[in-house]
Amino acid sequence: MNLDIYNFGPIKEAQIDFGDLTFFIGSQASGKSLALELLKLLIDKRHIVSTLRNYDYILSEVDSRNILDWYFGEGLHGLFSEGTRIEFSGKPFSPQDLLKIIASQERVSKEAVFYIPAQRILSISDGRPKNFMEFDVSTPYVIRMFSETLRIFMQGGLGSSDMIFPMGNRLKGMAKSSINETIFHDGKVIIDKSGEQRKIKLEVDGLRIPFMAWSAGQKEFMPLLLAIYCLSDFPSSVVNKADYQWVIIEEPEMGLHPRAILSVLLEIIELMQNGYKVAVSTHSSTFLEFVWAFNNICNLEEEEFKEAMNKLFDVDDNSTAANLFNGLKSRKIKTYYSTQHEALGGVKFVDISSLDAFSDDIDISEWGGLSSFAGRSSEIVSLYGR
Amino acid sequence: MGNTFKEAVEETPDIAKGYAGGLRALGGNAQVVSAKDTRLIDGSVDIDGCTSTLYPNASRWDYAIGYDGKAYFLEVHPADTSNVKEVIKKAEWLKNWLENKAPRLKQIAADKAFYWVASGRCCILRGSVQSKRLAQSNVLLVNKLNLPV
Repeated sequence: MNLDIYNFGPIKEAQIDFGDLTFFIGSQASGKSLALELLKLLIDKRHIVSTLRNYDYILSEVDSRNILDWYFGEGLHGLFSEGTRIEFSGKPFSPQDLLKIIASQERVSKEAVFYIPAQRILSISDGRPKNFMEFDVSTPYVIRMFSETLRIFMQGGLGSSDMIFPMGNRLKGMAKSSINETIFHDGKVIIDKSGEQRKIKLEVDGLRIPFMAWSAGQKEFMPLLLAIYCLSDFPSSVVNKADYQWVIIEEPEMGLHPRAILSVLLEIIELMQNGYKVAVSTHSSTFLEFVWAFNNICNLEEEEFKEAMNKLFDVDDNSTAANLFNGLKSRKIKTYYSTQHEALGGVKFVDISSLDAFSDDIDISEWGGLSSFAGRSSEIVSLYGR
Repeated sequence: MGNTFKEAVEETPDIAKGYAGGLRALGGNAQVVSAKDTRLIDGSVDIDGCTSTLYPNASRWDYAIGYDGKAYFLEVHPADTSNVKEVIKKAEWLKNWLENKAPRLKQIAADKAFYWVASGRCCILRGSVQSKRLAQSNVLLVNKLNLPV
C-alpha cells in the first residue's frame, strides 16, 4: 500500500510504501504525525464524518475548511494548499472527497485504523478516559477518538474485574511478566470506586496512588496498555478488535526504559503477527536495532531465524512465547526518515529500510541521526582519549 | 577420544605444522582468553604467523582456538575507530581462507562470529555505526574471549 504526499503542510515529498510494520523516524515537527493522521483520514474518512456528525459538529457541504479543522486541529485546514497532491493506493484524494461524504449523509459505525497518539496521556490525565466532547476543537481528532475508545472500553470491555493489571485473561505470560518487571514492579493497576468517579490507581503496599502521582513512564504506558488490551487477546463486546486493519502508534517508547521498550516491541510484533498493518513513529533506536537485526538474519532458514529471534529477546526456545516468531521472517518491515530537504524547501520522507551500516548514504548508515552520536563519541575518544 | 581441533589444523596444509597445545600459540595474548574448564581447551594455532610467508600482503587473521571440539577465531588488535576497516578486512580474509583453504576448521567453527579483543583501550561504542559495520561483518568486539561463548 502506497501513500504519496506532495506539498502538504511541511511535507514537500513523501512516497511511502507501507510494510506489514513501518517505522517513521525524524526530528520533532518533521511531519511524521501529520502523515499518519492523513493516513487515518484517507482510510476512515466516512467513519470520521459520521462521528463528527454524531457529536453535532457543523459540517459544511461546500467548504472543507471546517471538517479539516475538526480533524487536524483548529486552523490546520491550511495544511492543504493549491499544490497539495495526495494519492493512496493509486487513488487521488482531495478535501472535496470529504464534502461528498458529508453530502451523502451516510452513517458508518466502524473504523479501520486504531490510532494511538503521542499525547495519549491527555486522554486519562485525571485517572479516567475523557469523552470525545470534553476536548476542545484545538485538539486533534485522533486524540479525542482515542480517549473516547478507551472510555467505552473501560466502561464495558474489561468485564467485572476491578483489576486492570495484571489481568488473568489478557496478555501472554512473557509480556505480562516483562511489563511487571520493567514498569509496574508488582504494583497493581486497579479501578478505584471509592470516590465519585471510577478512577485508575496504582496499588503498592496497600497504598492507592492516584494517576498523576505515578512515574512518568507508568503514566505514559497506561493508555498504551489499555490500547493493547483493546486489540489483543480476549475479544471485547464494546471495542471489536476484528474491525481494525491498521494500528498506528506514535512514540510508544515515551518515558520508558530500554528494557520496557522491548516489552512494547514484543506487543507490536504480536499485533503485526495477528494481521494488523502497524505503523510506528519513534525516536528510539531500540526499534531500529530490532529491524536491523531482522534485516540481517531474515535470509536464514525458518528454524535458525526463530532461534536467533529467541536469543535476541531472551525467550526460551521451548516456550509458547517462541511461537510469536513463527513466519515472522517473511514479513515486510520498512523504515522512513523524515528530514529537511534544502532543495525542496521542506520535509522529504526518505526510505532508509536497509539500515545498512556500510551504506554511503549517512541517512541510512547512521539511521537518520539515531546512531550518529555514538559513532562520533567513538571517533572522539579514539582521537583524544587517554 | 580424538582431538578434532588438532586433526583439523593438521589437515589444513597452510597451518599443518602450527598446532600448539593449550593456548601456547597465543603467546602473551593468552591472557585475553579465559576458559570455564581449561581441560577442554583442545589447542591453538597462530594463523597469522603460519601464513605470513604464503600471503605476505594479505590482512591475515590472528588465531584459532579449539575448545570442547569447536573452533573459535580470535584477533587481538588495537580498537580505535580507525582500526575498524582493518579488522573487517581481516575478517573477510579469514572467511575466504576458511572457505577455500581450511574447510575442516570451518566445519568445526562454534558459530559465525569472529572475536576481536582490544589490545589496550577500546574506543568503539556499542550502537555506533562502526560497531554495526563490525557486526554486519560477523566481527564481535569483546572485552575478553570467555570459552565457551
